[in-house]
Amino acid sequence: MGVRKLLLIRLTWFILLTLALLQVFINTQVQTDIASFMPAGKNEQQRQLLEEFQQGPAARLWLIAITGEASDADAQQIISQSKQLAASLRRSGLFSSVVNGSVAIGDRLSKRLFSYRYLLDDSIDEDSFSVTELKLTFQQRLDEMTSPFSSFSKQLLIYDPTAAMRRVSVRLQGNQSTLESQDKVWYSSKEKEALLIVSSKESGRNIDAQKKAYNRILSAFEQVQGSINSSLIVSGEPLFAIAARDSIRKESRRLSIAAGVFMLAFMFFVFRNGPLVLLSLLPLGAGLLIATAAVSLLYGSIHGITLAFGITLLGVAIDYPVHLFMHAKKTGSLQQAATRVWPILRLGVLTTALGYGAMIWTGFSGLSQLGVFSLVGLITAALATQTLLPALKRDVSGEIPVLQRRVLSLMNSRLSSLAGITLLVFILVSLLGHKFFLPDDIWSRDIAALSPVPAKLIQQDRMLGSRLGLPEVTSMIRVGGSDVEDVLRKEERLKPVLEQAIREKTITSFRSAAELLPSIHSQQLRQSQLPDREALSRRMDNALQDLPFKAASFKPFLDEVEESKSLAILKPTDMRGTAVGTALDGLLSTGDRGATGLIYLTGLQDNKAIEKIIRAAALPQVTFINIKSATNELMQDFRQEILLRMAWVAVIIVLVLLMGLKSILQSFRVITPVALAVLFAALVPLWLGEALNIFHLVSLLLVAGLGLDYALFFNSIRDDQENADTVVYSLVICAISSLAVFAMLAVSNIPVLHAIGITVTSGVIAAFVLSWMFSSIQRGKMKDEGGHCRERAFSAKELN
Amino acid sequence: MTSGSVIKYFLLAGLFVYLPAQADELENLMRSMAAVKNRVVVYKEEKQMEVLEDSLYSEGRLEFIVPNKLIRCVIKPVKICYTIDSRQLTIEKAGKIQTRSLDNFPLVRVFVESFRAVLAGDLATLKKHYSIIFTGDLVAWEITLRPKDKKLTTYVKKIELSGVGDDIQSYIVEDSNGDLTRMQLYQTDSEAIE
Repeated sequence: MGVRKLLLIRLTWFILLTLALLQVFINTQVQTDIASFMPAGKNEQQRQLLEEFQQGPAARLWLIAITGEASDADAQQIISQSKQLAASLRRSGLFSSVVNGSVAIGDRLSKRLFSYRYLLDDSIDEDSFSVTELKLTFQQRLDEMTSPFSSFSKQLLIYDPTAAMRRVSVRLQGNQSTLESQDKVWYSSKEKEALLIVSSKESGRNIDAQKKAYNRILSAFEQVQGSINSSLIVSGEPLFAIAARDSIRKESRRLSIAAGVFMLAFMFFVFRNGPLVLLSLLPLGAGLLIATAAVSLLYGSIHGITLAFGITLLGVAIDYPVHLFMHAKKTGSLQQAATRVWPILRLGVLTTALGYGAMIWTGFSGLSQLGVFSLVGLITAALATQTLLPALKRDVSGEIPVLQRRVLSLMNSRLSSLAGITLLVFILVSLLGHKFFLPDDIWSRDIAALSPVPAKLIQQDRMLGSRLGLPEVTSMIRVGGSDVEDVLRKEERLKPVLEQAIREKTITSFRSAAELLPSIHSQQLRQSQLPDREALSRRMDNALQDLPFKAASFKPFLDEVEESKSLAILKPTDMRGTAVGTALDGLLSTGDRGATGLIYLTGLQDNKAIEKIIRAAALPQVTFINIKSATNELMQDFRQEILLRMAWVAVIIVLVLLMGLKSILQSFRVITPVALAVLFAALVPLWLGEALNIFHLVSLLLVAGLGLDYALFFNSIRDDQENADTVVYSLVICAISSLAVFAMLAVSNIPVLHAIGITVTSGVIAAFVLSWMFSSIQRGKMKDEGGHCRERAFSAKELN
Repeated sequence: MTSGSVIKYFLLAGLFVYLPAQADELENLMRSMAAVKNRVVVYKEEKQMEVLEDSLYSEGRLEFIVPNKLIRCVIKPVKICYTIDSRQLTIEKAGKIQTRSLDNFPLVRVFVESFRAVLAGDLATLKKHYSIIFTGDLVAWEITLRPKDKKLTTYVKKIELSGVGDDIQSYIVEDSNGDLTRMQLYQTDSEAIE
């Protein structure tokens, strides 16, 4: 190679990598939420729903408990700590709401609500002010006059004898009014704990912001804690998100350091050459960089999951320089080695890369990103191995280490047959006896199984949530509408249905925006149903005939009913900045496409039953949502899509092989061990009792890639013993390095990492052993047939 | 000295001697009240109210469980039970139970003390919320309570309790508008009411 050409290659790579680096560091956004990884189209509604859930109130909600020791003095201190903590958190500006006791409805708001009571009370209908109803309600009030508190209640009586305000305030307070409180602070004397509900300002997606909020809660508590022996329990969805991210991050970092150190040490052990070891990382690095840049250019951003899966799939590229260097040890020159290895490498890369490329044409944006990523990454890595490495280093010392001879002496065909047959027997037994050995359902359907959040944390959350009387956050009813009024009217029509569900004990209570504020329609209807002054006065006289009440005392009632008829209708916007307004914010949202209401359910017993009830109500855009099952459904769709794409990957791989090898028999020899290895890799987790999830599936793609690499190189072995030694030895090195790295993942506690590790580890073993066995059999045959096949046999030159 | 001024003198002297003695008597009464643990009595009540043409009569049962649980079950004319402890009020009517936190009703809380603190012999709490006038002795006594809290005085003018030994025999509430509630308490020997 001429000096000029050499410089040109170096320069081209330098410019390419620099541009990619700039794109990656300046212009690339990594998305982390699962929803944007999910498909558009068919499941658009579910996707939106997940998005809403991730940004919605539940994802921002923190549950906090301050607990202390038994004595009564402590109770006062814990209550005061709750007050101080709440004040400190409010000051921080990180939280949109901090509630540590029954929501105080301010005097102004209560006056306003009082004056609107006849529009807000949804028990009011045409009949409410009839003589019969009035008589009934006055009789009830008379009975209540026997209460020990009549001194207080009688003042309300003359304004509101129908007790409309009582019903309104019960509805406004929801379940939380039943929480025990002391000094206006939620305090459970049984548990000796003060409770708080805090909501972050930032969306639940923003995990960094949630972490900041979390740290703020901890430090604020430390400040108020003083010398008292109290402790803090924090829980909630944001904490889970933090815990999941942190534990995956920590574990990934630990494992990647371990894997990196191992790879460097191992490569050094094999090559005994520092620069060579560093160079061996270059193709993978270049592949990752340019693939990331390509995806972010094409899609505007890259998804974190694409990145993680992509790095996994590019693992094959570690093998490329190994093959190159091994061959160079023999030839002495990297350039020559590159020429020699390239045909096999090219076929391997093309089959794998084009195969992975089958993922590009799918509605799943994440999967399609992954296709582009692996296609670009693998081709880049291969080209870097082929062009850049020889341009950076010319010669490699040619000695063959003792290790190589030792390894090769072990690699006899008898061992290969033994190992291979064992694997085949294992596969056969598993398939025939699947009823005994494998789980009934081979697919993992519960996405929660992938969560690295400890079960203890989740249990603690449930406990706190139920003490606070919080509704279920994973199941709710979504009410879509053209505008807020439309949503409120639908929620009102749903009310009797939900009340029926309460009677049937399907739920214990529900919370909706319409419970806090009736629709304009309902308020107007009530206004029209309120009798005029004279009519009401006449009816009152009638109703009070046999009762001891003096009709004249109720003038304030007559006044206020009359005034109610001409009040301006109360709208959600009028409630802004009040306790009711804050509560409405959590239940009602407006967007470009209209308004959405969420109805939260408490004490939900039976998802199916409520779903049926909601469907029977047949209101448009009203659906029961179960976040868990929705997520699981999405995952299932995703799995189906991956399976479909895997079939395409297989078809493309076979086609490319057929074109490359120009021989059906050869292709069969290459593809069979790979297919069996993929099967084996899928069976091993099942044997271990693990249902397969999408991480196993993506790992199977890597197994196919690695397997193809092994099979093609083994297949390239002819009767040239020296060449055969080089190929076998370099494959041993490749397999050991992959095996070690993925075995580290396999022992991880993080479900996702474990799934990848166990699948790839078993796949690598099977692919290596089976390709080796197939090539041994073939060579054995070739020896027997005395070279008759040689003309048809694959050779490097044919392909070149 | 006229006979009238002699009487006056004696009365004054008697008053001076008597006042500290009265305070002692109140403390004694409270101690003996405190000595009684749980109580159950029946009551009859008459309410005269501005909004009502006629008096409203009711009767029922009162139960006190130390230190702070009061249960008042109205039996006639309708059955309603009110249970109050230091934190919440529970109302049970026709099988339906409602619970309200007393946090939102601080005046009710103080008002309840006019009865609970006497039963519990809790003089400190009583003094905190009411100015007290005690007359009589341990055998037959009368306590008049006037709320110290300005807000409470807009509802309740005064409360009068009278009794014999450690039994309360009557409890009378006069509201600020003149409405009157008269409650007579009887020992449960006459359990006919149940």
